[in-house]
Formats: sequence, structure tokens, C-alpha cells
Amino acid sequence: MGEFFEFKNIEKYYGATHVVKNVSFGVRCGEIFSLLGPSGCGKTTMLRIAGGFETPESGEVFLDSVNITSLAPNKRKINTVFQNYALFPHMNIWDNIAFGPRTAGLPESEVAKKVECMLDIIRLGGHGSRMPDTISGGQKQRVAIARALINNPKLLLLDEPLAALDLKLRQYMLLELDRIHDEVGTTFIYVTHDQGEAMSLSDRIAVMNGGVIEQIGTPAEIYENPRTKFVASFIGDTNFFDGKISGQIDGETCRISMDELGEFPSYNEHKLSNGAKVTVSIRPEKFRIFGSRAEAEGLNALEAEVIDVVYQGAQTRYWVLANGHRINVLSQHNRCYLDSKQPTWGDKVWIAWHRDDVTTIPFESPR
Amino acid sequence: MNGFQTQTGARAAYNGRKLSEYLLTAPSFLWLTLFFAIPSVLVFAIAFRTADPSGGIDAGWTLASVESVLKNAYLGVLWRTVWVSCAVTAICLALGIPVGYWIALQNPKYRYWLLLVVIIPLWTNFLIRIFAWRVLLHPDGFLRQSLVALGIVPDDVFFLNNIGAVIVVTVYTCLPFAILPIYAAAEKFDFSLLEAARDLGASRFCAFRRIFLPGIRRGIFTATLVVLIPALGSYAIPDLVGGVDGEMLGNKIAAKASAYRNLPEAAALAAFLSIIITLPVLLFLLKQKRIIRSVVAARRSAGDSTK
Repeated sequence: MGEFFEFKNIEKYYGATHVVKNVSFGVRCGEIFSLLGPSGCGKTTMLRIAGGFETPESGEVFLDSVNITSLAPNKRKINTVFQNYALFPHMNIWDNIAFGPRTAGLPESEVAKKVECMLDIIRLGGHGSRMPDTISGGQKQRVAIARALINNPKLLLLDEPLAALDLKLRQYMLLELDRIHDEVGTTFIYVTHDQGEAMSLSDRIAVMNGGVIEQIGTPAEIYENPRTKFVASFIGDTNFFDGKISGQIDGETCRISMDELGEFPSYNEHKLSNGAKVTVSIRPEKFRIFGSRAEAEGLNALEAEVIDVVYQGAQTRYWVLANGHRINVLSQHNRCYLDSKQPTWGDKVWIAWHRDDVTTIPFESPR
Repeated sequence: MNGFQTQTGARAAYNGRKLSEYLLTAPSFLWLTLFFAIPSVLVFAIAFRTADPSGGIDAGWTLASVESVLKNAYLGVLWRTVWVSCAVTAICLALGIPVGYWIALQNPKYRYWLLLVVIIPLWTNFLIRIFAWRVLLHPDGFLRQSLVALGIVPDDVFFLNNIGAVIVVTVYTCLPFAILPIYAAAEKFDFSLLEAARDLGASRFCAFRRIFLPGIRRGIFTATLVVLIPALGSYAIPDLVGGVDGEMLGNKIAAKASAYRNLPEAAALAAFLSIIITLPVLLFLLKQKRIIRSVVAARRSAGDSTK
């Protein structure tokens, strides 16, 4: 199946540092695709390769089935929104946005029409004569997007576009980005280290670490079913347990003996066979807290002692100790929080989870 | 009542601040008055005095010197002075901009060494460097002899004592002063803007011209001024390597003052040169002021009082 935009076996070195290691993936037409990873994972390098600012040592880049690997940045139907916006400081907003079409040699009347249209889309109509250093960060961000989109790119690259904005503005700009994407329908590749941004904006996410893609999937797939320990820990919070497959129950379920904690029936997605070492990941919100074993009927359960309680309004985070393991439990508040008795420091409780809420990751030897 | 008091209080504070500003600037103001303004006025004044045959100034006022300066005899020298200075400035910019751009792009570790290389020639005395050029360009010098021997240059071409020598040596002397302000501006330039321009469809050259050059325009203005003004007033270089054809206004002034012993006419020429130099600077400053005012106005209209 031909992807709209595709990386094939990309390798990139900076000096002796191997920053991108044989990366291949495709982006579908019209989607918002996020490259998510910690700083230094190679995600920005991938973006710069897509934009034509870096040449890979080997591998190919395809846009709409055309090999663009050696094409100069100005010859690609790809535009970039840079992290620091990179607005031209000596030009006003209007001239900044008009830069692309003017460079392409469009007649001034047509340029004017397009710029007006873009100013409307980013809701900055009437601000065309302002200079970049007289507008706010959020406005600069929108101008940078308009300046890129006015060229009708087949692909828009966004390099940590919200990193420089404060929290409130970031949330607002996320909605704006989504709205602009709906309005223009361009394919977006969005680079970020912020899992929250990636989760709320993307159709699909590629999680990168150490120059390789760890997993590609929808936000829900990535969160609910992480393939690697890195993905499980980078996206959201989780609890890890080391274990071993100790028996099979049916095709989908197995028994896992988890360290000193005991043996529990667990979902076995990878169909691992007996004796295989595994890492078990259980998200904090998958646990429920009960006062007695009887209440946890039909669930896996562990006896534990509450060692810390952090009330967070909509939820409470508990730290419990079970046989030497500190476990992070997140409890969503339901109705009548104040009227019901809540676990507190030193309480003996049972933490319970469903066998299907377990992610079993084949054991990785430490890299 | 209360409001009135506050107002007078504010006025007093304002006046106090004004006074301290005056006091702070007084020493430099005094310096400029004593050593720049008064001498300039003297030069302008002497231009209207009569000449004393022994080389001094005589009593009485006359327009003779000014008329003599405005006579055709000087127009040739004036024209040469202007075009040579403009050519020198253009060449210095043409060399200085790429050099400044290139140095700014280097690893900061090496930049200072490169700047040092630019500055090192200035450690040698100006006159000694010009004499070195005389040796280099001399008809019997190594350079011309070998070029003639190799057949690259015909035997009747001379490097020394012509206007070409003046241009070459002046460019050599002024180039560091052009490179430094251009480098200073280029060093602050955000090179990711060039990537942004390339991304938006600009060729390398187009990005350089439309983004880099405007981005370092202040450096270019400064370089233009620090090259053009000394070039317009140059005296030693045309005197030593220019020969008869390479004479410039500065040499005429020197000749009037020393050889002809006609101080008023020398003063008139000097005043004339000052006016020629001042005009472009004044235009430039006015333009600067307009730019600053428009930026301030734009910021004010944006409701941004912080910057």
C-alpha cells in the first residue's frame, strides 16, 4: 500500500553520533501524525530530513510516490513551522505571510487575496501591518502557520510549535491547530516531546527513542497497549513488575508469576510460552482499592498498606506498599466523596485489577 | 488641590531628572565643543578671511577663497574624490559582507582567531603598511616583474602612482573596519531565518538578498559610514601611491596649506569637504530617526509599553 509520505530506511549520523537508526514509516494523506519522544531521540532530525535541511546518510524520502530525498528545501511542496517561529523581523505580518507566494512570482493582486484569506483563517484579519516584535507569542505562532500554509503544501511540518507558549495558550493553540487542520485538510507531521499534546491532537503517533521508532499507533493503542517498556513509561504513568509466564489458561490468558507478589492470570497478547521472562505494566488507574478481599470478587488482588495519599480534586493518588513493591494507584472520585470512608495512611487495603488490564511486554535486556 | 500638588511634585521630579541628565552629559558636551565644534567653526570662518602672503590670515573678509574653490579647477578632483571613495566603499562591502557572513557561521571557538587575523594588520603602523604597498607595487617590484615575465601583464602597465593603486591600498586599509561591524551584525543574525526562507521557496541567493542583507542592514550602514568618510578625507594614501593622477581633495587641502601657504583657501576646501561628508550622514541619520519613530509608533499602537 502506497503511503502519502514515506521514510524508507533512514540513517543519519552527526559526526560519530548515530542519531537515526534505520527508520521507516509512512504518513497517510490528511492525518495529523505525531513524532513523540524525549529530547535527543532524533525526532527533529527526521523533520529536518523531511524538510530537506538534512540529507540522510542512506535511505529515501517519498512524497506522493515521488522520491524527494535529494530535492532542495525550496523545491519541495513541504512547509515548516519552526520552533522559534522564525518570522522575518524586518517585515510586517502581511509581508511575512506573502513571502512564499511572492517568491513563487504570483501577481500582487493574487498574493493579496491569498494573504487576506490566511489572515482570516488564523483570525488575525486587520493585523497585517503589525511588526512581528509587536505581537504576542500565540499570534506569532499563528502567523508562522499561515506563512507556511499559504503555499498550499502537501505536507506541513510542525517542530514543537507550542513549546514556547505558556500552559493556557498551549491548550488554546491545540484547539486552534485542530480547527485549522479541519479547515485546510493538509497532512501534518507534528514533532513534540509533550505526550499530552500528541495524544489530544494526533490521529496517529510514532514514539521515538534513541534514534528508533518504538511504536506507531493511535493514541489509544499507544496508551493502552504499549509494545515496549519505554513506550509504557514515556506515555502516562505506569507500574512495572518483573515476571515469568508460569502456565497457560486459554489461548489469550496465561498465568504470570510476578516476583514475590504471587501468581496472577493475565492477558497474554504476544502468546508468550511458559518460562518466558516478561515485564508487566499496569497503569495506576486500572487499580481499584477495596477494604477486603471479598469485595474484589473475580479480580486479581493484592494486600497492601497505604503509605501516601495525594488528593488531587478529581482524583486521589495513592502510594501503597505490597510485599516491598511501591505501587502507584489512581482512584477517580465518584459521587459523595466526603460522605464515604476513604483509605488513609497506614490502612490495610486490597488493590485489585482485571486480568485484561495488564500489558505484558517481553523482557528486554537493558540497553 | 491635591491633584495640583501631585502635578507640581511630578514636575519637580521631572526637572530634577533633566538637570542630572545635563550634568551627566556635560563633560562630553564640553569636550565636543572645545575640540570639535569650535575648530569646525574656525575652519568655516577662516575660509572667508583674506590670505596673508607669509602663510597666515590677514584682516578683513572676502569671498575670494570660496569663489576659487567653486571654480572648475577643483571639480575634477572633487569628482575623483567622490567616485574613488564610493568605489572603495562598494568594494569593501562586496568583500566585507561575505567575509562577515562566513566568520559568523564558523564555530565560536575559531571565530575569534579569524577576527584576530582581520585585525592583526592594524597592529603595524599605517604609514609602514603603505610603504610596504609601494614596495609591492613598484615597477621593479617582485609582483609586477613576475607578472610581466609570465606574460600575464603587458610591459606598459604600471601598478604604482595611479588611481588604481589608491583604490587598492584604500580598500586594504579600510576593509577591517568594514568587516567588523558587518560581522557584529551577522553574529547576532538568526540564521534559522535563512532556512525559513528556503522552506518558503526562496533560492539560496534570494534568501541571502531578501533576508540576510536586510537583517544586517545596520552593520552595512555602519560599515558604509566608517569606510566612506575616511576615504573621502584620505590624504596619505593618494599622496604616497597615487601619483599625479591619483590626487584627491585631501591632497589639495594639504597643498594649499603648506605649498601655496594660502590658509583661507585650504579652509574653504576643508569646509567644502566637511559639507560633502555631512550631507549623506545627515540623510542617513534622518532616515534612522524615521525608522525608530515608526517602530515606536507601531509598538505604542500595539499597546506594548514594555519595550
